[in-house]
Amino acid sequence: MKRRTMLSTLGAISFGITAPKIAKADLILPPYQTQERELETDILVVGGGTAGAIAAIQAGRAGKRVILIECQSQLGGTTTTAGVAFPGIFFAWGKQIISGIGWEAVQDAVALNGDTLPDFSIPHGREHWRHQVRLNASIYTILLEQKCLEAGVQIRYYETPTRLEFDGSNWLIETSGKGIHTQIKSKQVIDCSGNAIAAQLAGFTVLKEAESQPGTLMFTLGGYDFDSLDLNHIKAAYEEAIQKGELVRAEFRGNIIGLLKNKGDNIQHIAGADSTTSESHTLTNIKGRTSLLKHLEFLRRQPGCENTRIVAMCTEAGVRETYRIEGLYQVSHEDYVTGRNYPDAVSYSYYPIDLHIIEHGVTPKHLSEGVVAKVPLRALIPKGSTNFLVAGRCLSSDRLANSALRVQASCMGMGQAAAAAAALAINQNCSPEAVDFESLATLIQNHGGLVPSQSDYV
Amino acid sequence: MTSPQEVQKNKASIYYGTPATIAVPETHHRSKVSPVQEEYMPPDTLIQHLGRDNIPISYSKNIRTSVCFDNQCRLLVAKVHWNPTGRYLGYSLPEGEFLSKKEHDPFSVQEYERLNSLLADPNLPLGSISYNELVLESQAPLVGIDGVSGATNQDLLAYIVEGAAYTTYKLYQILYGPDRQFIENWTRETLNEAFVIEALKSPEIADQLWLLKVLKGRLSEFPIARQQIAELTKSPNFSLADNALQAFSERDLEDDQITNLLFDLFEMGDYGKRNRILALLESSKTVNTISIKRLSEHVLQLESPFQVRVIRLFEKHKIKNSAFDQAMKQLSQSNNDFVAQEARSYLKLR
Repeated sequence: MKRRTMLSTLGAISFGITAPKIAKADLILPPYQTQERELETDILVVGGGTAGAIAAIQAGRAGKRVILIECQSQLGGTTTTAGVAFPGIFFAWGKQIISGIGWEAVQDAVALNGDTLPDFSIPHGREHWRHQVRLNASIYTILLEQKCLEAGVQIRYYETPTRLEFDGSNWLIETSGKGIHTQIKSKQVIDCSGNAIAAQLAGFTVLKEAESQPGTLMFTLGGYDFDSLDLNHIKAAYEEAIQKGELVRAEFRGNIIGLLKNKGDNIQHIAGADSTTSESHTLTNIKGRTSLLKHLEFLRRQPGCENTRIVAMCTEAGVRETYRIEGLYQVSHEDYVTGRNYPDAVSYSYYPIDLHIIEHGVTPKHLSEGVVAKVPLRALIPKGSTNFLVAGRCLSSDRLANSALRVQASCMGMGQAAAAAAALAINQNCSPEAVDFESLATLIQNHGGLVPSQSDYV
Repeated sequence: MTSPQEVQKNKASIYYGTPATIAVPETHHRSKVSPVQEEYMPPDTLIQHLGRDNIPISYSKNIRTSVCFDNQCRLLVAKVHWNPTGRYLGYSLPEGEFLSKKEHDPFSVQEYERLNSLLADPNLPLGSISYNELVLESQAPLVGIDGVSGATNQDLLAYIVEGAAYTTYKLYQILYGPDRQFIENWTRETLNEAFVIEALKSPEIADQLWLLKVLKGRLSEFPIARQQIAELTKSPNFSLADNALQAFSERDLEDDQITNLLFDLFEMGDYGKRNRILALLESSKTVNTISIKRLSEHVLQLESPFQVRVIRLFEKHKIKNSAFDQAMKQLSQSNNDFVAQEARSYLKLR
């Protein structure tokens, strides 16, 4: 008998006896095998990011059984894992437009960190970021997690869907996680993956631009005194390095001074960033880190920057744009900039049209005074679907509208609205597009959300 | 670097700015040495202008400093004024002095006005850029402004008086530099109720917000002003109402009138206000009788998440109230399981 075969037949206890070198405290177990799980729920939320965490809390607070699967190790997505911890915009033209669960979490995070909110009464002018709320990402992710737990949400980290099928009354979803293969039966699915991954697995049509907006790796540099640097010298050296092909201009937007000034805060551009698959996201992260390393090495050769170091770096690059669903309605650029209202408007959105293009940089185009965009429920429902919604940046929209709709506060509003629609669809035994709209608006409002007034609808 | 040179003098004194917002006549003043130390220059003095009851009305500082660029220096002689919250009030030039641009051209009236409006904006990029950046040779970068990026030096042209970038920058740095923090701390040290009442009348929301942040958790020291602040919680201006609400602490709930006022707001206000008030109750060591009564009467009208939080609050403090028990019986039958389970759990514990 071969040694391996013999050991496997002996079992853990006898193996312990025959292995004298192993310490007494060690417990010898049989080789690991993937565990199978079968779960049933009312609402499955795919992705615990900006929209998904809020959707899960809303669904739980509406009294539904909720499972939230998240492929990373914490909630908050772009706000936390990607480090873009300045959500906005919650106020437009002096009035609050996004409230509810997202606002509650932001308000609580600001209070717990001893921070203060911006003065929303002062118009932001061209500088819309004045109305973004700086958060402590660590506090924010903990609060989201706690709010999920308090709402009875079953959180399943490190899991991602691999198959979705509708059997005529329920969704059957297979997910893969660390050592776990799970089969989930769910009445409703809300895809908050940002990449429409669940919608794609379910077979719904999605759209993608030939060249997506760039991604950004968030990090913090330190070890130099900006005020004492010879900026003209560094700038000249930077241009020379670009000319020699050592650095790529677009990676930091040709703005080495901006990199030093902002210490890395939201200034990098990663071309072709895509977080849809583990392969594409791996590539995005590697590109971001390689670019950072090259620039770090360059900076450390500059006078006054010799001790430049990375003080902190997010674990993954943030991605602005991947797939969008083809929904029952597509929000167009024209809809967005004119503030078009809809009979099924479920939330607001307010942000400049903000397309990051590698060649041309960023040119935010602000909305005209008084204009606030709206999100119709139909833009959250894939064409041809049943009991299926999306929330977040993968909503049905054209590229320019999406460049504004994708931002965090708008995603929070969508997440809450989508979950309310899913919960109500269960109560009314219908698909989300068929729910009674007045009841939906009431449910959202009863959980603090702000719904565009139907009296404004023409 | 050449020595500072006196420029051609003007015959009339010049003042640009807004009047002080504390409408109290000045009766006396105090002075302290400015924390700002400049190379080869003696430190300037900060003056605190006071009225009756030691109410700080404004602050001022005489400036005599060099504005240098390309090894050329000009002497800047001026006086800057702040109100007690550190907000910019104005600048003045003593008789015979004037501001000048490149080639010593004197400012026009429009340029004095532009300088005043630039200095009045606390959010200009001038406050966050270094001298180094200001002198950076301009070269258009690849891109413009991103969400949190600072302005490039080309963009700074929109934030300066043309031909007087360094004068604009210097004055801005003085007004929004360490002196400002020094002034704010000085006001905090001399805070009294007479000042708080006057300052709350300021037409500038920035003054009121500053005051509310300073008074956070200290309202019980200012009982008269506290009533005014309680009224501010109803302001249609979100920031004003929210900061007023945050100024209250557990100690203020000892006052029945304040507690009732907060509950009026709790019942009428928006989701965010209810969240704040409930958070205040949750962080308090005890729940007073008025709070118990008002919560028991209103729990059925609350949003589901707040119903659950109120139930947990009653459980935590082992509060017994028959009206609340009745409400819980109703909620235990709710078609929202999230609420119903919490109500049933509460009744079970009872």
